[in-house]
Amino acid sequence: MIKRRFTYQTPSSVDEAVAAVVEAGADGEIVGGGTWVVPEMTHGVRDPRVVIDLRNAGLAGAAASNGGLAVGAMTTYAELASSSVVQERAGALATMAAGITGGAQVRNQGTLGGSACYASPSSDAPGTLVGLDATMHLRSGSGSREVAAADFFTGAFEGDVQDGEVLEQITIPAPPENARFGHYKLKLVESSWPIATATCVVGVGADGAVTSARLAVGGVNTTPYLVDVSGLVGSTLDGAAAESVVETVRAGASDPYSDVLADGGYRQQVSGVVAKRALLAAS
Amino acid sequence: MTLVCSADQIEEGGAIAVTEAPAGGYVGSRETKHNGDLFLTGRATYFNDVALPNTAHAAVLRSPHAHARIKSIDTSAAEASPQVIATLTGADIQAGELSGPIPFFIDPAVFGGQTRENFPLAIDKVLMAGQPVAAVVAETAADAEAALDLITVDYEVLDPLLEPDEALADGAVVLNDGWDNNIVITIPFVEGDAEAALAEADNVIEDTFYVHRHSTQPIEPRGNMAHWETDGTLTFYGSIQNPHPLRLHLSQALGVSESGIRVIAPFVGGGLGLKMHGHPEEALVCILAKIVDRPVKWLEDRRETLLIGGLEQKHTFKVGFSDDGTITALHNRIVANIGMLGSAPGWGMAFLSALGFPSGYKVPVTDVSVDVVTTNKGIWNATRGYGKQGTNIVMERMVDLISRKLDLDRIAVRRRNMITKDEFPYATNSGLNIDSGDYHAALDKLEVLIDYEGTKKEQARLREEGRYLGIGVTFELTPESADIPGTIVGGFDSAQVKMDPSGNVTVLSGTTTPGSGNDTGLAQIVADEVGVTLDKITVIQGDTETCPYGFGNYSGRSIVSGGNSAVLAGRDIGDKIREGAALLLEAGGEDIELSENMARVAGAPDKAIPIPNVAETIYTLNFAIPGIPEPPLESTRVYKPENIRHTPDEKGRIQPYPTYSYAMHGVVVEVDPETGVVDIKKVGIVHDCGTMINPLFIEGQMAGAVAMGIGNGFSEELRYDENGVPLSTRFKAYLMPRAGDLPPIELVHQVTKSPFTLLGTKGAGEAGVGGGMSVILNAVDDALAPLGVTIRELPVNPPNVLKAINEAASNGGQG
Repeated sequence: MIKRRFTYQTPSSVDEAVAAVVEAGADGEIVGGGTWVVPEMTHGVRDPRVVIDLRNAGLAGAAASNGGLAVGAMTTYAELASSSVVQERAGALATMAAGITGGAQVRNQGTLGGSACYASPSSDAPGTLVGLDATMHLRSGSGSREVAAADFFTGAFEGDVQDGEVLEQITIPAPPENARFGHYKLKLVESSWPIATATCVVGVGADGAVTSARLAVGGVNTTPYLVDVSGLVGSTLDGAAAESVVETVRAGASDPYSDVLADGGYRQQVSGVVAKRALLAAS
Repeated sequence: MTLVCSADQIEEGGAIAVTEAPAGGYVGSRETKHNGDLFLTGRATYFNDVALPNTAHAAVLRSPHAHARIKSIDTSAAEASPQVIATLTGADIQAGELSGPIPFFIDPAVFGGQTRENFPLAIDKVLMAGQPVAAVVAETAADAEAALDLITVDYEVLDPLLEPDEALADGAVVLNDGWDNNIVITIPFVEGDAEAALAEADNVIEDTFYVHRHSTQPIEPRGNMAHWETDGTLTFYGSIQNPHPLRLHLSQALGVSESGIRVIAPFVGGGLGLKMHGHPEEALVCILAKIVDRPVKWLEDRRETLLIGGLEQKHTFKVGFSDDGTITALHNRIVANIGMLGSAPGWGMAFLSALGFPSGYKVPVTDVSVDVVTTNKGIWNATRGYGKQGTNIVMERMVDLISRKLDLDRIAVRRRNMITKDEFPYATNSGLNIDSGDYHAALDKLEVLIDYEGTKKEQARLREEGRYLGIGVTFELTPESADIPGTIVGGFDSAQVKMDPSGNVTVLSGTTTPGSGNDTGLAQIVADEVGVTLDKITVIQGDTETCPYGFGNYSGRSIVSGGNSAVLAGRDIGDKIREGAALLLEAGGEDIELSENMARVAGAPDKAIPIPNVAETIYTLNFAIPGIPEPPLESTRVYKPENIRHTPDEKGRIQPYPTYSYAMHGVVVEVDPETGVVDIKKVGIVHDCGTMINPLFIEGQMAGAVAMGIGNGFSEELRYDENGVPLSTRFKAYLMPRAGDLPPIELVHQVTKSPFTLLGTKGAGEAGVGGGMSVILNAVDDALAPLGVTIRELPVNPPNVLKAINEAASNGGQG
């Protein structure tokens, strides 16, 4: 039960949202879809005096942009999963969104921007955004700021959102020629949070050889990490190629995250497997 | 798929023969829930739907420490809050003598164990994180919860004892004042000289098994509300399982007359043992309501439900067996970690885990004992299965270990050792008397149901591809409908059947339904006895003011005890209707048949009278018609099942159970050896609970029980940090199974009637939990056998499975 009364605001633009956030200061809490914040208010983990809900701030929707994608921070998982332009230009994002635990209720409610800002190690979005080389666009009273997703996630439950800032948009660059996307999530059972995720974007030449490869692992360390998979360039993406990255991925699990569901040792061990399976999904 | 068959309806190697549901009466037919529309349309009244005018709301401040001394509690800031009506501490209870100790549902002292006094709020020491230390009453539940932040408790934090090893160590702090040590009780069951028999055995396996701490989580959490009426009597509403026994215990705790308390249990959204009483919040709301002179309600939060655990136990066993797989001796030392000893009946599950050995197997020599150890983890309460899981899991583990060691088929080893159908009733080494069954026929059916031979071939084929299919086959024995002398665990129950002048029938029962559908079962039984259609029947349960005395629900007892008493009471009314109808139809000595609201002369269908006319005549023309039966058409009866024996035998053993249901379980899993993830591909069960009043409800119970058992076994776990603070505080950390985790469940009913109950019924509703746990465990173990894995702990969740694979690999493939 949410035990204390609070003020609920629904600013109707990003500017109003920024103003509301500045005014509320430390008493404020921004709500995207509410699938993280509201349960934490129920459990007494968060106790804001002002709740700023961005639902009317005009931040929803995914659209083509500069050969890639521009995704409003309030775009829901359901929108991402059903969008053909997302499927085409960042297929891993659609796969990730369709695999969110909690059924239609959560996919209709939860937002990409909200999940990014929460920055939980055990969540789907952070590793996917790093894998897709996304850029986070933040607004404040003094202007806009861009942060690469790989730099945005700074710690467990820590995203680079400064006081007075609102995450406005996430952009994803144009995919390479003949891009193939792979995304794999490991969870313990249906109801479990993600334990480890891997997202890859692989360019493939006309001869079938890999021309570029990018792979990020989420859920394993406290923040997502990129794995150097440049060794795949020139090879054919097959089982042996996928297997070849496993030890590199495990070596990257240098600071594995532990929680009640799985300890760091487990996450480290499965990291390579998850990466391998993401590559196989792209093959 | 569901098949109904009797025990002998399978030919060797043949298919399972199906019996149609019996024609005619309601008993045995697949009636849907008689009041199901209330539930489907959201009109059923649950605890939180009960609204009394002017109700205030309580919240409970709980200890953040697993072990601490309370130096002082300052409630002044909370008292000063305008939203707060009252606060209460343990010191207040003591100073005002507001409550005595909460009576135990089952006091260990009855069995010679050590006991303690539990008060609604901790008096000076807390023994678990989450133990109530103070309470607040406010206008709203949110205000009450917010005001908890204003209470300051000064604790002297003490080192917690979390594991039995620590609690039993020399020099360990004794947690309870006045105790000799941290052992509540040690309970031995010895038959013969196990050490000698093991020394003589062809083979001996020594191993351990750890059953993890888990719990039961009904959809509806607990809740209590108390209201002191203007005449000084107390009305108590609760989401509870045992209204009459709770009335006695509230009377004892509060020091008020039992006749001045009315306990009402509205519809319950799942009990599962959790709602058997002895919890602090029951007497607490009564005290708070008295203080504020208003109704006070407390509704449990899921975080609070998850404080209550069960089952955690380690078995260290030796089993001796001959080269043909015949088990000759069994030695098992069980250490159960019951956490803090609460007044709820949970601790007794440890007793059952030992009592049940050697399950449905014939083992001539057994030496089993359990040490019930108290620590600073959370209290236990009953979880569906009530400890029988511990027996089933470890017994079935042993049989699989024997099969593997001798390279014999697991089913063949079971067949060799199981009690045969002509040996019932069968007296076990622990003093139980198993009523009836046909375990071998159930095995035959299971083999067909899960295509055992075909699955073994498929397993061999997939192993060639590096895929790990596993088959589990386990037996589960569920002693049911207990009566424990000297406690409020009663084996009998009561029913009152009343017919009004319109021919409507009301059934009042001392049993309650936790949502299992036993109310519909009672209606079916009575409808057959009095000859009316189901729509004429109303069933009332869960109100001490209106219902005859009974014990509520636990131990698969509601139909065995309550159902059979409804037969007797219904038959009394049927007899009066027959007598009246015979007179009115001038039938002379001919039999009267009652069905479909009509009384008919046997063999003369035109000589008939509507039953309501008979009832109306009995009520309105009783002086006018000489010889008409005496009103009212009411009867209250009790049924005491046979086979219970409380006179101790030469070894001091009693026989507390009338019936022994059982089930044979089979599952097929595939284990991902790189991640430890378990994919359950097939679940099949052959279940025997004797006569079935309504197979539909049995199937619902079985599906729920096996899903619960599999969830308990492969994902659910209550974990703590190193200070004893619970980590499994919500359903994202305590992982219940979802629909996608399980394949469709296939069930076959086998019917061997109990010779010791009126209708031949045995308990139903608990079988499935222990079987689900043991079968998933053995299937995972079987899947990974080629890797040299031996599973020694639950849950078989991916981290534990991968750990077992790693350990086997580091041992060179020797588990």
